Amino acid sequence: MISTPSDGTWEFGAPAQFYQRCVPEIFRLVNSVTDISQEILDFEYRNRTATTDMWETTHFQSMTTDWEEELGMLKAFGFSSIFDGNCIAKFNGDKEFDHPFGYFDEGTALLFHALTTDALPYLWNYIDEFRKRKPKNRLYLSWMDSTTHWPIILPPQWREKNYKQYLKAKGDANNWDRENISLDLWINAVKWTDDMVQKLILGFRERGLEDETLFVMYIHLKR
Amino acid sequence: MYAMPGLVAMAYRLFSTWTARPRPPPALLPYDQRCEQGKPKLRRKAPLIVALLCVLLGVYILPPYPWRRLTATILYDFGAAISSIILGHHVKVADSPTARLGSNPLGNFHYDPAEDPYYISNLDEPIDEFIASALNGTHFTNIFHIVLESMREDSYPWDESGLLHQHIIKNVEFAENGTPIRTDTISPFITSLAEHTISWHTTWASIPFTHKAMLGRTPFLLTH
Repeated sequence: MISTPSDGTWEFGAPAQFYQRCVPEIFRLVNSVTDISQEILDFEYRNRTATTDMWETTHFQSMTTDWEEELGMLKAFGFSSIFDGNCIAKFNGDKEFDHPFGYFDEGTALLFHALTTDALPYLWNYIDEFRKRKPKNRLYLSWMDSTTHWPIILPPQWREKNYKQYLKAKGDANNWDRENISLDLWINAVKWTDDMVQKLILGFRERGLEDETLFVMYIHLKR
Repeated sequence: MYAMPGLVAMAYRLFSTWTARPRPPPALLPYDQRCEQGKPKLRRKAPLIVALLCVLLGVYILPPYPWRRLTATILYDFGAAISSIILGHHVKVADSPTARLGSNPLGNFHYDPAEDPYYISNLDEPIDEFIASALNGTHFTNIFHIVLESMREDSYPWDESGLLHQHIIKNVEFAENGTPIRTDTISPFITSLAEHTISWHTTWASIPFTHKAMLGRTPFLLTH
């Protein structure tokens, strides 16, 4: 496992590379290398079907990749395609994001966020297109969920139906203790994440991809 | 004479690029297609060529002195710039900008662990027993990597013996008639998969205080 830079990802603003190869880049190398050693061929044949051909390496997220040269970092990982909040804005005909999480409205001085669910229709569209490809490719798909990252914006429809109060408010009901509000909100975001993971896995199941897909979840913080 | 080494290098790289792509690249993805729509063909294929043509024509309307003397090398400069664009375009189509190993002067100077005397490989070691046993008998063709930003290890699935849960029990009051904080109320779905889930808790990454320990600067010389 390799690290990502500690002080943000600023260095990717200049052409930089990891000393270690990352998984997406290795898959792309497998796509292009002609003189594959016998060991690699054996591994490949063990894991491929008769109709499987090349790896597609794609990353999805609903945030922009503009902050701290994240786009450069994702490219250095070796993804062949990157779908981010700017793509959502472009496809929806909206103006480009002026904040990694969405739009800043000057009239109301409020920040309007792109929700993690905003990228979901595009994800399914991409997967459906992927399933149609002939010869069939292999997929290394990455999905980043940023809902548990501050400022923790939950989709309004989910919030109406599913938001639960776990912790007691301190003091005036209209003036809760900030820590409790944040923690309560964050626990709800964990519940929302569970629902989202369920949607993703069941979406793969509906498309007949669950049994041929290895699901790997990476959690950001140790504690 | 100036152009000969460049032409030889260009021919070599075109040849190696051609032989390095025996199979067609993957079909274009929605992002590539839609973000490229609407541009004229020349701008879409090689956007800098249009700018270079403008510069080339602009050179001949420069004042005679002292700028006109730049025209002495204009053909060389033009040829070098165009060939760089053509090569860069072809190489990027063949694979990713960093997906070619090696320090070949006619290729690139990217870091190649095979040539690093200090590189420690584990390729000669057997596959980790735990991973091998976990994947034994499985067959998969796709990988779906889900990154949960700002999620805690002891929170997903919700760990009732974890630090956060213990902190809440000791220091925070529960809401009256509120929902109890339990694994099955916060993360029921992932918990239902527990029997089929493998969890690593020690996949630490080394986080240096300088990027230089983990990143290499890509030199511009003879790179695409």
